Amino acid sequence: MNKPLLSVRDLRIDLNTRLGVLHAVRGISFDVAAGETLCIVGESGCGKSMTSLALMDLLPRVASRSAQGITFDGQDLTRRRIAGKLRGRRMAMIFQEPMTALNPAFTIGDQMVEAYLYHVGGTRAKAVDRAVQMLEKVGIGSARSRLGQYPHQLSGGLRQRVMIAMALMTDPELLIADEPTTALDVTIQAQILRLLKDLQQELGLAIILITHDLGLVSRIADRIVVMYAGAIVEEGTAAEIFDRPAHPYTRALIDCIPQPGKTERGAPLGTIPGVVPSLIGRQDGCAFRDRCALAGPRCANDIPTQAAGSHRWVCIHGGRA
Amino acid sequence: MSYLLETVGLTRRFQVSQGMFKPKARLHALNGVDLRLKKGEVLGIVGESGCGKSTLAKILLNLLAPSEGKVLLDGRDIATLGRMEFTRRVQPVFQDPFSSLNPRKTIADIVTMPLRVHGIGTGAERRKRAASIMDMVGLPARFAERYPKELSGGQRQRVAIARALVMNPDLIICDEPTSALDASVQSQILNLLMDLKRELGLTYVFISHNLSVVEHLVDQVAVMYLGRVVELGTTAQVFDAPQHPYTRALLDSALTVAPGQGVPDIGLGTAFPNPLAIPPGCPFQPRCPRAFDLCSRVRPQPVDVATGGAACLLTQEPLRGAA
Repeated sequence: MNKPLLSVRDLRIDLNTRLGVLHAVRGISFDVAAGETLCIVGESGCGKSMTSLALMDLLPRVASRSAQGITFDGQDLTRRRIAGKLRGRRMAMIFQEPMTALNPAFTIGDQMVEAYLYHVGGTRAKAVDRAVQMLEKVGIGSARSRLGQYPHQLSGGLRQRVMIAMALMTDPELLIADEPTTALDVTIQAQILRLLKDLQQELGLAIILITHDLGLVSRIADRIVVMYAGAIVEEGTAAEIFDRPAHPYTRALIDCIPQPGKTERGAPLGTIPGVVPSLIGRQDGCAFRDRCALAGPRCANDIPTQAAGSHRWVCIHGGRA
Repeated sequence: MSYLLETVGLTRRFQVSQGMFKPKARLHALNGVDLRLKKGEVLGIVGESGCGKSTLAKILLNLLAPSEGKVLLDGRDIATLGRMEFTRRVQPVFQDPFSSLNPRKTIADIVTMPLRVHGIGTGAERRKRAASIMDMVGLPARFAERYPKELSGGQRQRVAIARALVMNPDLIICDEPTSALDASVQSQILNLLMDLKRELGLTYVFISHNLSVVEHLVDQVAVMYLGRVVELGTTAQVFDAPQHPYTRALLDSALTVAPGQGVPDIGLGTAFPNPLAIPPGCPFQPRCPRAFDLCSRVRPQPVDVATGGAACLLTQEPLRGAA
């Protein structure tokens, strides 16, 4: 692979709670190449959203971040002055719920122009032209008149299009999308995802997409990172993860969802017994072993990462099933 | 053939404020919905936001009265049934187990509440009944004295199911019962619902926007669009051979696991359905990739509840009527 656009090494996020330090993210490393789609997938509490917030320096106050290195295009993102220049300009983010991410008291035009003037500068007229151009790019008709509208005047799908247009105002190279379509209807979801893919081709965008939806991931990811209890348990291309899942957690997760045409209608679905372990305190060995059918005594030791080409997994059962 | 549940021409209108000095608009949340459900079957209701599925759930639970039409339970209008008799036979499971359980009551209190309301049994008998129901839904007995906040989302949804089952009802209305849950927990709850149905001969109305889940679980499907049933049939009919272009679009947009297949172009355009301004003719016509000139003038016949099918001019031989 060429030099990655974004490189994250040993990222850790700790939250101070009354019960002790909660290790939400436990030393994860990944790269994103220019123009590629990386999906981070996992269930609630696995640390996927914390990871995206950490990249944009948006973590809540109680959280602390440490890393061996986070670099964007070779520049050190852990240094506040450098991050401040890149974030919102060369890296942009869109959130799950466009109604809460947009300010209800300002027109969408004001909100779109604000970031552009802050990061790029120039005249307001130029920024407004750029906003119109971006709204047209995301498929919003009569864009100039839309600029005067408030978020509540738009439907959910339109609001998410506005969010995407807003993120693209500064011509970023990396777009981080945290559950961008979870609040939307299925038909609108399909349209928004197609739009993202089209824009990615046209603009050469790299996308980090965070989601719990395996179906969505299987269709748009170039590479997938599966997270469990704050750590990466498996990483690979969409074909590797879905056709030859190597980690028992990935396999179990795929078996949990009904797959039309594959799962017999009405047949029992796969389940994962037990619950996610507490993230407070140390975790020795494999975090999944209490719920894993293959678990043995060796799973309590440190688990080395195994690899076959780009496909990597953290399980001693080497287990390509 | 008698049906456990039958709706006849259900219509519900709301007056919606348009702004301080503007006249109120009339919103048709439901428009002539006919459905039938036999005992022991599962009826799935699918559709997008604003299609009326939640309004339908409220009416089926007798929490909201229809503007027109009626709901029959075993042939009797539920408006004439007493509240007590109705709640003994029909129970809900709602979407969000975080807001549907009283945070200040213990699990045992929550599960025995319906028995207390109905004055059934002594305290000891109620606790025994609650214990056996909790066992049935897979809740350990030690949870009885715990509070909802101590439970995970999946466990809370099991409590909600236990509360619904404690009265031994005939019909359970599930309104998005797994939408707030993770995939691994969702599969547990779906398996539980299927097991309970087999063991207790339950009948479900299952409302969901997740098509894969609906396809997996239900016997009959009603597809709703802007307050109307646009397609009705068995799971095989609707999922294997959809007739209405909207059903087809819904199925195409469901992102099933298919590595490398990408996201399909469903060709619906960017028009958004507005329940306040339902277009003349076919309500789906502004988004329909197969619309033709008649569609904007002629309203398709509603789906015949006896035979099923689609409310679409393409399948209703419109030219004969128009000629």
